[in-house]
Amino acid sequence: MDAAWAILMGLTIASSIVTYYFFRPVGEGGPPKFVSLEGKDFYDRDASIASSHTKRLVLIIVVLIVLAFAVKGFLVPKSFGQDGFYRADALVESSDREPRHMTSESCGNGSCHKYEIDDLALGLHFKISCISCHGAMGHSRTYGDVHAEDATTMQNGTCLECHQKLTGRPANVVPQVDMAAHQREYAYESGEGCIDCHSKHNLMLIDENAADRKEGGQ
Amino acid sequence: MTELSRRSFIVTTSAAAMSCGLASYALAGAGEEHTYEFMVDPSKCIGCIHCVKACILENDVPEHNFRTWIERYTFKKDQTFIVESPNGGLDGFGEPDVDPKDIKKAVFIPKLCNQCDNTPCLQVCPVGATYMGPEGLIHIDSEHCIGCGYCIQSCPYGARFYNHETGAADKCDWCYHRISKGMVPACVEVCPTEARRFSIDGSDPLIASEKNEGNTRGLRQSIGTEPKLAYLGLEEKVR
Ligand code: HEC
Ligand code: HEC
Ligand code: HEC
Repeated sequence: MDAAWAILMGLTIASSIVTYYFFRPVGEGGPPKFVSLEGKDFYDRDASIASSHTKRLVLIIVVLIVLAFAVKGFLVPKSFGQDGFYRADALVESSDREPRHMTSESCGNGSCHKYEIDDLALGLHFKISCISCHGAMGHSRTYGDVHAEDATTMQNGTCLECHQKLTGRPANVVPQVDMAAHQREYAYESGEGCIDCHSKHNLMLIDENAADRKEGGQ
Repeated sequence: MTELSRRSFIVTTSAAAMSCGLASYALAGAGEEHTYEFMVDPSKCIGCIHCVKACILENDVPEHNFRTWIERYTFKKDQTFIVESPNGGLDGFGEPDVDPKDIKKAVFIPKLCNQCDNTPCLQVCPVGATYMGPEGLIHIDSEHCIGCGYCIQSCPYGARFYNHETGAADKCDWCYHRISKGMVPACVEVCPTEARRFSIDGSDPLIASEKNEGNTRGLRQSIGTEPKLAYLGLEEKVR
């Protein structure tokens, strides 16, 4: 691209100079003759000086152009302008980054977590991606490369991120509980976690007495 | 004679310019291109902030900066409304500072780059570090960016920020590293309620049909930025 530019610009400038040289106004004599200064013809002397000045000017212009292209080639990054006014390689670079959040299917690849996937599909959480609750395992900046350990240290907070009663949270999309009221209703101790009653993936009630407790039983 | 010189000069120069234009057109490469569509359904957003967290992790977003964030619009009965986004939503929304009796409606609005077709951020970049890719998405070349901040100021949606770790402007690119591999963006992947939907070459036909039925609109359409990001059934007042 740059080479094409340089050649075309060079041709443009050269042709303009040639055109000027042959058709410039030089009085009656037409294009000047090249004569040495030692020659006796004093009338041609002025023309000769003018021609040497032109040559110098042309030289300076050519040097400047070459310099400009050298500087441009040095400053403009590779592949810039290939597809538009940007570095074409940048697009490749930004698509080359590795994804960190994987799909639920990839958790079941090689049947590693096939059980959990099937279990999750049983309950109303079936649409939720594993990583929505578990985070991008092994990529977490805070947890480093923890994998299994990470999965079993989930607190009530994770459930409440979605299930806490909140202004603006649409009740038709997610069933909500007020933590304190839920606790009061089912009369459980604050130490008890959500997953002590709601089975972690399929959401079935583990604590069979839980429903009875509401009636003030137990 | 002077006449001729000028004419030939103009002719040669314009011929050169034209061939330059043609050459650059011919050299432009054609890659594999997809159509991407993103639709947000605020009526399904439960404000769990999992998208914000996933985005930060996926894209190494520095603290207190956001490529995507959640705002809560609380509309009051007296026609006014308040907008909150405590630390992009990460600090938890809690209850709004309004008497619950005065609240008419409250809704969570996920925000991210709108990928405008007629975007101001592209026009102000002095070095070509922010650009529209062949698929119409706006990208940032963080290597080439000089961090002048013009684009950050020009974005009417406040979607851009200065990334102190890379020394460049930064914003959501709809997880281009994922969608170019056929995956959905990280925020869409973790969304539990399908409040964010993404379609690659029409993989989610609902987006196109909602768009065709005219149920969607972009943010601040009156300013003519022509955002590609579609919001489904958006409240009139949401900007
Ligand atoms: C709604 C949130 C949620 C979703 C979605 C979810 N999990 Fe879990 N997962 C949990 C909770 C809660 C635990 C238990 C944590 C604890 O014991 O502290 C858990 C535990 C686990 C464990 C640890 C094994 C065990 O039995 O303790 C594995 C493995 C696991 N999940 C895999 C998955 C996979 C795979 C998926 C996707 C198909 C998935 N999870 C989706 C909430 C979830
Ligand atoms: C990422 C958000 C999210 C998280 C985290 C989450 N849930 Fe849910 N949960 C949902 C959604 C959404 C539904 C409703 C699905 C539907 O109706 O289609 C739901 C439904 C439920 C239901 C079903 C209620 C009913 O009517 O049967 C229970 C119980 C439940 N969740 C318990 C939990 C528990 C316990 C945890 C913590 C391990 C948890 N959830 C974590 C989003 C979440
Ligand atoms: C003592 C056991 C127990 C504990 C602990 C518990 N729940 Fe429940 N929860 C229940 C019972 C029982 C129901 C009623 C289920 C039913 O009717 O099928 C219920 C219902 C729910 C529902 C559905 C509400 C609705 O309106 O449909 C959600 C959501 C829920 N719980 C979330 C949670 C969360 C989140 C936690 C942790 C903070 C939690 N639960 C802790 C026993 C418990």
